[in-house]
Amino acid sequence: MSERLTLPIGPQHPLLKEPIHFRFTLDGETIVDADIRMGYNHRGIEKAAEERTYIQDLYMIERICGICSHTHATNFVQAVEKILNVEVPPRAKFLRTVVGELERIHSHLLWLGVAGHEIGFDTLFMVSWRDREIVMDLLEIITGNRVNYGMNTFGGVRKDMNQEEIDETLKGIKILEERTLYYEKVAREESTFIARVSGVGYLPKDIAIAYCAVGPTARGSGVNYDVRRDFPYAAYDQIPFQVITSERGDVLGRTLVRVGEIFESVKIIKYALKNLPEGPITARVPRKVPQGEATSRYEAPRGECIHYVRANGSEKPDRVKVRAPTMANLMSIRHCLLNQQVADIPIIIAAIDPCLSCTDRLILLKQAGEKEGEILTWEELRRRSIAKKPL
Amino acid sequence: MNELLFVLQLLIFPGFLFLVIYAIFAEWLDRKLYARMQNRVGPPYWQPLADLIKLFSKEVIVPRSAGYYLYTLLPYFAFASVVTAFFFIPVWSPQALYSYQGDLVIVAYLLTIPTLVLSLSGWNSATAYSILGGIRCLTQLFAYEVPFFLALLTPALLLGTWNISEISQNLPSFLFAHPFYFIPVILAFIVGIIALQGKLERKPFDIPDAETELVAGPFTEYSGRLLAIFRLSLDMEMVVGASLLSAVFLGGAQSFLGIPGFIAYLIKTLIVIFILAYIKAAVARIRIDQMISFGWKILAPLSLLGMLLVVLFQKGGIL
Amino acid sequence: MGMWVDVNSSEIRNWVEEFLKSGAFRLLSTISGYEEGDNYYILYHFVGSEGDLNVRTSVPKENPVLPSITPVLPGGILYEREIQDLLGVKFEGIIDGRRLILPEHWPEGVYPLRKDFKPGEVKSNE
Repeated sequence: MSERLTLPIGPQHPLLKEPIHFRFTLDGETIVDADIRMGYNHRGIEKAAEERTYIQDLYMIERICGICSHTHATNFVQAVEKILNVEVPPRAKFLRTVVGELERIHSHLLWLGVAGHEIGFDTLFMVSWRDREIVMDLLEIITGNRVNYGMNTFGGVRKDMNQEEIDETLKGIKILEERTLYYEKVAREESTFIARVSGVGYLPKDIAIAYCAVGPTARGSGVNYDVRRDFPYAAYDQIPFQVITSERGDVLGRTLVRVGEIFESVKIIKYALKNLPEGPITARVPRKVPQGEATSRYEAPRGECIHYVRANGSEKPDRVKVRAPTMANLMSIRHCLLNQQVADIPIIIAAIDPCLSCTDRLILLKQAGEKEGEILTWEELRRRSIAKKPL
Repeated sequence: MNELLFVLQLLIFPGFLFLVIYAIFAEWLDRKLYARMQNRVGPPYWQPLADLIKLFSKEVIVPRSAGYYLYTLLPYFAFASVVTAFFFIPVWSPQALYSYQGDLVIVAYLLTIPTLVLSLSGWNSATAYSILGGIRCLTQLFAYEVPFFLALLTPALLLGTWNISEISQNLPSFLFAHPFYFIPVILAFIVGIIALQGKLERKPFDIPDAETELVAGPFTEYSGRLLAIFRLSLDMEMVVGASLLSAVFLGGAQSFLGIPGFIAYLIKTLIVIFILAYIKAAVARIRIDQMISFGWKILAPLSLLGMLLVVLFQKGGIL
Repeated sequence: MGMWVDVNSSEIRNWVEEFLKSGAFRLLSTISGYEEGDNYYILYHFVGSEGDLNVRTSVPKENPVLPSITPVLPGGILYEREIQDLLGVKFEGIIDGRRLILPEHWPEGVYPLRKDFKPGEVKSNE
């Protein structure tokens, strides 16, 4: 009988950018069992949201995640707008779409780099992250921030785009399109890259649905579901685009879906900026949120993100539930990992593009016997974070 | 007096000290080239030296699970074997410090020792990552070692000598006199370069210390001085490997076009290092099973083909 | 958009089984839970080719137990474990009911998402 080795990965490990714990049981180099434990990064955002006003929540929820911040903000805003029964002006819808799609390009390029790094292809990592800078600059031009854009408000967006900004964005988008063509070529032709992703982490379509996979993970297995098309929000019902799917079911399939989606995003942004409707960017919003409940779905770069908001008529929400796409995709990971090689762990985990800060959202725990830890009040934290002298 | 000169040659130039300095330089060059190929700035020229000094000044931590003596001694074995191998390779003049019939085989075996030491240190550290790394080291050894040896033996077979200095002196003139033999030698050189990439555990063959899976593989538990010795040995292995290939295939330290021998040696080894860095930048890491099948299905047959061509040419009387 | 359906908590597993049998594309988006009055409410958010559907069920606070849907829909496991950790509603027949989010030394019977929970007052049971 062969002896089995337990390989712990995480909460701290070079493979993981964020803390999560995987425990693998190995038979030689083959994985025979996998277990997941999370919560290392749980910040209790859902609880915290119940103790703050809607406006405070908007900015807190935007900070769930640095990469898909627009996702969460838009999603929360949409849910609250549904409860308020507010119709967002068309121009604001288009602007939300533009920022959302830029964010998607940003996230997919970031993923491509991480995937390259996980399989030891650091050159791909370096060049795709270089190009990601272009997107971040564009986002800065449009919203004023590289991350956590602060673009949304209840009933619309906070900042308009002028012609100069539109031209800059179109110019930047053109460069990105050229670069993406090159990455597509790499994904389709570079032999060592293909050797590492083709046939790896196979996820059949029926398993993908049974394990509730979403986004590029599901679409890479042939599940033809995209919130943007099936439950259009923002301006997606007025913009033509295609949903990219792949029947391959392996990591290569997911890669091709993501690269394809970058092209679609480029198309969407071009269309949206050329057909940007005139008009106001915010609608009048009632001061008080009435009793009610709503769900809102959003196609985040990583898949369907859903928010459930329950209002009790006071100035604070009664319950905010956030389900980030990574949570949905984590369940399919175990299936993908079984009977694979140790060497494939990083790329299979990376293939769902895990974002744990989205997934894990309070722990303020004093351990018995531990020295009294320092708990800072909000004012104290604020005081300390302000630099004494201007830098 | 002669003995003193000999000792100086061993310790300073072209022996130990030169090797260390050149190895540190080679690491910088490798990192810089790699960085430039990836559109990065890359480290300043003193960075590898600073890294080494930092490591030497750090505390050595020996894990409880490891055997103490073996754990602390192993890095020095790797270090010593690489330095010894260097003495057989011509650097200053076409004649190496030491040379006798069969030194090609000795160098080839001495260069195997660092891999064995790495694997053993991985096993000896006895933690999950290092054991897996150790297993992979050894598995990988079987994939590249045979093609590497066969590639080195092709010129030896051609010239009927097993002496590195003799091979490097005679190969260029022989090839220009009999251009047909360029085919097997170029074939063997390509196999040699790829196998050397495997030997040095560099992309696409950095499977034993694949950081995203095994943290640092066999080195995971090493720290401080011991890690510095390991790092230095690997850098020196790169220089020795590059020097060996340039001596066996490119004529080594033989002066050409009026360029003195030592400069010729530097140019040729830098070319080899450049090729190694280029491969590193252009590819992704492959899996261990892919490595084995690559080694046995492509590299080994190619190197055998090279030898077969040599034998056929010789028997066919093209000589 | 958005249909809301109420289902008796003891019937939930059978209901989900019947719902998924149809063969049409139906996906569980998430399970969320909240507290109101004397009950905990559990919501199953489905999405499918016909539109989206939210299924609501309630369990009394004295005895917050309801059947798990994981035997018929394995994808619900993480959501059920999350609710089990944070809201303290027990799912009977769950495939793997270990803790998912709370640390091992978190005290038994303290559930952070309940309204009577105040942050910062938790003592570890170590």
